[in-house]
Amino acid sequence: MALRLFNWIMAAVMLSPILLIIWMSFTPGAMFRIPLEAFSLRWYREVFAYPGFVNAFFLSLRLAAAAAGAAVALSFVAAYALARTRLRGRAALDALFTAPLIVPAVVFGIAMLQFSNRLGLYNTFFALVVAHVAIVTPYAVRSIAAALRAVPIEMEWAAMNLGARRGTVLLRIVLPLCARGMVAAFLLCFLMSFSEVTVTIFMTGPGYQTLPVRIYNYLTDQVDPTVAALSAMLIGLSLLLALIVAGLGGFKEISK
Amino acid sequence: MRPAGIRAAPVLELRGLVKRYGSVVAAAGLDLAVGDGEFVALLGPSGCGKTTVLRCIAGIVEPEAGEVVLAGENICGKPIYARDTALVFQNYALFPHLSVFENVAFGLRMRRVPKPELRARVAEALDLVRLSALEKRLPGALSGGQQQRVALARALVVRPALLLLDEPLSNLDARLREEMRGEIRRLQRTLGVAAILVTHDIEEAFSVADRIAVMREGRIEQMGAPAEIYGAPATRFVADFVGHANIFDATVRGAAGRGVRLGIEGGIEIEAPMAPGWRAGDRAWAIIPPERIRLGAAALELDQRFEAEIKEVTYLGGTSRIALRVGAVPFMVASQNAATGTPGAGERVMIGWERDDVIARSAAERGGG
Repeated sequence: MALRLFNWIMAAVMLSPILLIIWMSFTPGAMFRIPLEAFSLRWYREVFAYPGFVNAFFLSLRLAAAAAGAAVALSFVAAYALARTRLRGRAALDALFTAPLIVPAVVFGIAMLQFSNRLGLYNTFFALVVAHVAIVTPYAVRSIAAALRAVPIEMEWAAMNLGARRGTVLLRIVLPLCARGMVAAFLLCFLMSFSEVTVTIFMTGPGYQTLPVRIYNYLTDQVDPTVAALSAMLIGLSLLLALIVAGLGGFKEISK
Repeated sequence: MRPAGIRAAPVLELRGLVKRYGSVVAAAGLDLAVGDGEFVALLGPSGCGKTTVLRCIAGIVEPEAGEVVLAGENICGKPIYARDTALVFQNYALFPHLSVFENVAFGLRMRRVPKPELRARVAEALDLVRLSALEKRLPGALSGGQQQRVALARALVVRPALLLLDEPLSNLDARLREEMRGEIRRLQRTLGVAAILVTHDIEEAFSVADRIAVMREGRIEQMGAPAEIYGAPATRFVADFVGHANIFDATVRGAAGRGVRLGIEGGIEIEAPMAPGWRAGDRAWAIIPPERIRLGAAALELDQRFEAEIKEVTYLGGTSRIALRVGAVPFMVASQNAATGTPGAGERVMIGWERDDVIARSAAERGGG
């Protein structure tokens, strides 16, 4: 009984800010009042009327897609090598690829800033993608490695025995068999990249403000329910992707 | 020296194959030859190296030393996909995302067989294993026996020089296993393809193979036709492994007519066929096959007779397995169940056999096992 009560309280603590934001997004006035005196989509219209948000949304979309795509491709190669070959230092590589960042995100952000500056890549889309790939790759490697473990090595031997070279085996047998894991990994990485703030804030010059960074900057200037409306939409998007990932069994893999 | 039964040049020849895993020897200078159209079984307990030998042939494992000669060419160092062998796995290893048709077609696609020929050959292969009706199904929708047949079709459709079967029946239940044994034998005969079957199942090896190689610790302990392996086991290990009961340590006592007297450990003396070079005092071992031992009245007219006490009777339907003791020596007898009934535990009966039914070997021979 006490445990159940505790769980309900935990759920309330976690969910109430989110529900509050959604509630707030439908307020008609510039100030948020309880109770809500009327229902309005005014602030949703404001979001789309503000080019800063719309542009940032598309930037974030491109960034998340690029970072997730690159991370999944790289992770497939890395996970396959870890699973199927006896590399020297395998355990160390395994740890490196699958452990999320050990250093604090702030430190990593400063490091990436310095790094990209030195290479003359500061304030470029490419530098942002690289930083995001570094952040999300461990999750992709884990997810894909789990999918690869489910492909018995006999399957690959059988294909080779029938005349398939390594590349063909990967393309025609291994890849299709862990496609679900790859899609789950992609969506997961996409979600993480899309909502990443800490590292990104160091990397974004004026030219490249991702949506979360833009929201952060917007809030330092003013407070109005536009952000609530935007947040409500983002919550909807994240929820949709998360449901797909869960449906593909993606969260089980990372918690292993 | 070429084993009997091989006339032309062998399809496969293994010469001095060596492979170790740490301290475990999987192949210790192993030689083997498989003739055209011949079916050879590698029989042995788990860990004897039989699967490793198969993998060396397929190219999954590279031997440390020795040669794998397939159709006259040493294929060591050649990648798996360039070897003309087809492997059937214990767990079938069917591609779960491809239909039965595509599974069977895979090897032909890799060989860039033109489409009309590919269709015809896949259809023929599926017909051969009687699965034509299921070509659109995914492997997951098939029973174990059907999956096994798809795996066979997939291997045979590429017309390999050598078919390799790695414990292909061990995942099936007893009845299906027997059925598939016949099927594998029929396919192999029909296509005339040379085949190697790896198994630890004696019945499987006996019922399917032309010749059996009994393996132990990376070597071939004995090679021969099934009747030879069972009727004349060369070593005690082979005798044990092929399921002989009534194996006794013995000492040669002296000549007895055209035979020899053997003292069985435990106190009794039996006669056995004479082996060349035996002298009194030599160590030996002897087998009295349980199916050759007669019981009761039938034993009275035989030249080797002993009075025995029945310890235990196990009813097996058509036969009974009877455990007895002659003095301190335990015997096992396989007896046909007659309408008159079998004697029960505690009874005393006569048991007997012919001298020539006894298989006796010198314990010094080939290490003796």
